[in-house]
Amino acid sequence: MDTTSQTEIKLVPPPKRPIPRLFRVFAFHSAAVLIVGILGWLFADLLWRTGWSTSRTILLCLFILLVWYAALGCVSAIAGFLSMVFQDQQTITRTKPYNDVSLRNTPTALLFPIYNEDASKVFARIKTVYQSLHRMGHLEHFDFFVLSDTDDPDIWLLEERIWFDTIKELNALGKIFYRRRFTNEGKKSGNIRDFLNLWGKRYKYFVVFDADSLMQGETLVSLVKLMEIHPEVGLIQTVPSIVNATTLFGRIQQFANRLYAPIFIAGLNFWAQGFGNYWGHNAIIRTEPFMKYCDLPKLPGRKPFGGHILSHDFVEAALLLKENWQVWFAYELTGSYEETPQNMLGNAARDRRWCQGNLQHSMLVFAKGLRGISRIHLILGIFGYLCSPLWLAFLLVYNWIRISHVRSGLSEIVVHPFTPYLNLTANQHAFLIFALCMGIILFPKLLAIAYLLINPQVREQFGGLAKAISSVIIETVFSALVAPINMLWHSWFVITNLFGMTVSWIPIRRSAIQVRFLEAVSALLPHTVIGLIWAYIIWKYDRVAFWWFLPIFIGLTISIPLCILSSKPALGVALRKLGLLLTPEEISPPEEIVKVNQLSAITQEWPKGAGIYLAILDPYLNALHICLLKEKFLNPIYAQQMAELGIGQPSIQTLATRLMRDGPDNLSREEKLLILSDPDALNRLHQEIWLCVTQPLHKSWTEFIRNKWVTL
Amino acid sequence: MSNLPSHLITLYLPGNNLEEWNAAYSRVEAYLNALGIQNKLLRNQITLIAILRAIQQAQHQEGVSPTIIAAREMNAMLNEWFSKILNQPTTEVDPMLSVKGRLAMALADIPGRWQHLFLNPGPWPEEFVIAVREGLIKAGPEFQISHTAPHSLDLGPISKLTVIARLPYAKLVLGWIAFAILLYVIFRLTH
Repeated sequence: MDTTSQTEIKLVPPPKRPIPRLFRVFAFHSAAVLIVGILGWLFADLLWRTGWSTSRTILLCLFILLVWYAALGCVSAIAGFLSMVFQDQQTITRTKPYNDVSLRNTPTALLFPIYNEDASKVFARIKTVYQSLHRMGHLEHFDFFVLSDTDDPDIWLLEERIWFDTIKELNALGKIFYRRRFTNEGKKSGNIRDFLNLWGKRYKYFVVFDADSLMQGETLVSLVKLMEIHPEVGLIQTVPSIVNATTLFGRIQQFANRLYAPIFIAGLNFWAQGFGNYWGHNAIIRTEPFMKYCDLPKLPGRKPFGGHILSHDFVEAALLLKENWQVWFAYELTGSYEETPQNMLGNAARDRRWCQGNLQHSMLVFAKGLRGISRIHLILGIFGYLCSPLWLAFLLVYNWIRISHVRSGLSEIVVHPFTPYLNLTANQHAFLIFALCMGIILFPKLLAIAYLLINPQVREQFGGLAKAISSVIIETVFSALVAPINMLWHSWFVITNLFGMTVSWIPIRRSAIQVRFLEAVSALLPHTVIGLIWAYIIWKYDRVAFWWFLPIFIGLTISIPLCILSSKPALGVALRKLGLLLTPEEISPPEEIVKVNQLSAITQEWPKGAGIYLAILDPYLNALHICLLKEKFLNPIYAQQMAELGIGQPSIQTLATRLMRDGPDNLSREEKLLILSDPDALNRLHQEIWLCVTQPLHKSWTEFIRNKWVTL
Repeated sequence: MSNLPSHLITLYLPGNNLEEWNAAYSRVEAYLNALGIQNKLLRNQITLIAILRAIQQAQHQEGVSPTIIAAREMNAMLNEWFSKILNQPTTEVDPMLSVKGRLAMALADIPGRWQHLFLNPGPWPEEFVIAVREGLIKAGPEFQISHTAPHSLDLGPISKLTVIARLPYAKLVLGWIAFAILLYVIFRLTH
């Protein structure tokens, strides 16, 4: 690490005036308002033609909200497309040349917060980033921190073992550090805050990784250089590309992310400029302002809206912007990667957590002092989930209007539209609105294809134009089928969240695990039943509407087989062989991805429950674990937490005696965690079990020794 | 018995219980296995020394299991060696000596690189001494502790709502209002 890391880092005051971007904001939002205005007008006219009613007013309001959200996406894509084609100069990577910036005095911490994750994979990523920086010759400026919040004894001990093996293998003692908290206070943001309180002052910058994310050394170095040359910037967010997907679902997500995301983010950057956002990982942060301004308060009230802020990232960006620090998207930087859940159920589980976090932001939308743009970021996040129940409400209100009319037995009287020169029948009028709506939804995809058309090099990275277009068609059809499934899921998440039902903090499964039949049935039977009943009702009362709604009914009805089939790696692989859904990282995998995959293939696992045996009996793991615990006493905060847990008290020694006598299986997880947190108890256990001091000793100890270490 | 050559001591196993001494041998050997001493000759040699020491001790410890005596002897041998290689005074009792020694062994890679020097009374190569004595595990660099405190956020109108939510019967009243609105909406939609 840099020897300068301990020197005081000067905080450069940020500029007080926001950077000029009025035209961009005006152009962007005016375009969105124009689209909403035209479509809203046309829809209102259509409703007018068949007779106004209260339910039609509700329908119009819902329509305007939904179209507004879709229009923002469409305009983002247009702005992004133009930015990329004409190479917008107002990007963080273009405004100033940064390649020759020195890395002197830039101590940077790379943070890997983890929680019960697959330790082998986490360390495979760390090793890869380490070696990537080593190859570049810039390793000295970076320190690595594995910040564990793990509360599974087996995983905790495995993390320590693999960490130790890693630092020995890489000779990285004093470069790669491991720290585990005793409590999960504040979850991920609390974990980062704990790091900052202990070591934050040593580092000018820090980069946050997710358990599944990866960055190339070159990208990290570029980020530090960008921060150095832009002292007014508090945070730079990269745009991670999804990689390593193998299932059909995963590969479709990966393809969509890789093809469309750069355009959308370029569009977001077009109008947000230095008022961007933070997504929680793969971003570099200036330590001092973050420490000073981004310590998140607990929200008043009870869960799910009160308590710790779950989706902390948006709020942290908002707090930086509030204090005049800039936040940028570095969408032109490559070499930033992440993985995604590889089946619909995993994706829904993640969505449920995100939904809860985003809805909690409604508490902050009106917070005093936040910038208007931060409120927009928060609202867009909320709307990402709220639009599902709104869409559902729109469809149901429409069905209600139609069924009420059919049941009334009255004939439909259609009057002329109030829009001048709109000489269309009611059906033509409705079709025009439908076509325009589809247009704004699908236009971003067309722009992505257009971008490939004018960029031969990028085109080849997606397998050529024909295959890319075919892939877009597959993705579009699949998305259309999945959209109603997500609509019901998200609506359920929103409703349950509003009624105070929260979800627990569980690690996201990103591996390609095929969904079992019963698993799919238990999760998606309600979708199927709702789809069938809904289809039946509409078929019975309104045949015309039935055909319009058919894609929704199909999606819901086939949700179970769709979920199972799309989770099959074989299907994903088959499409890959056909050259479909290809991404640049699949065609030409970067060295770091190859390395991570090679290292991840060597998984280190213990049989369930073996961790505590090894922590006590394995002479090296026992010593390592005790030393790590002993070191915690040096930190007054941890020392206090240990005292609160009763570490060092006779009660833990009594537990230890029980552990020897009754064996680990007869102790609860909490009791095991307590023993594993007490260095003196562990030292005693190691000595006494090997020396057979305590009698009677539970037979499982001798059995474990016999099975693992006795030579026959 | 102490006058007998060591290779003959085995003929006089105290208690004449071969099985018990066999178990003691296995326990010591298992610990060496756990320490990663893979060289059979070295492992057997050390095990035998520990057993011989245990046999000598057994004369003064009637009724104590040979396994316990042998394991204690193995432990004592290790601690003696740890105090030497770590240059720790033998006069002070350090309950963490074994922990430090084992960690030093792991950091210096004694089971891999220096196995031939395991329990060797010395002198040792300088490189070995440096590797053993300088190895120090650190979970992080020196602390530079800060105490940040969250800034309170004025939530604006939302804070009023959270205050209302805490009022007694507020949820009940809100529920009634929501129900009344629902009835009104249904009425308007159906008429």
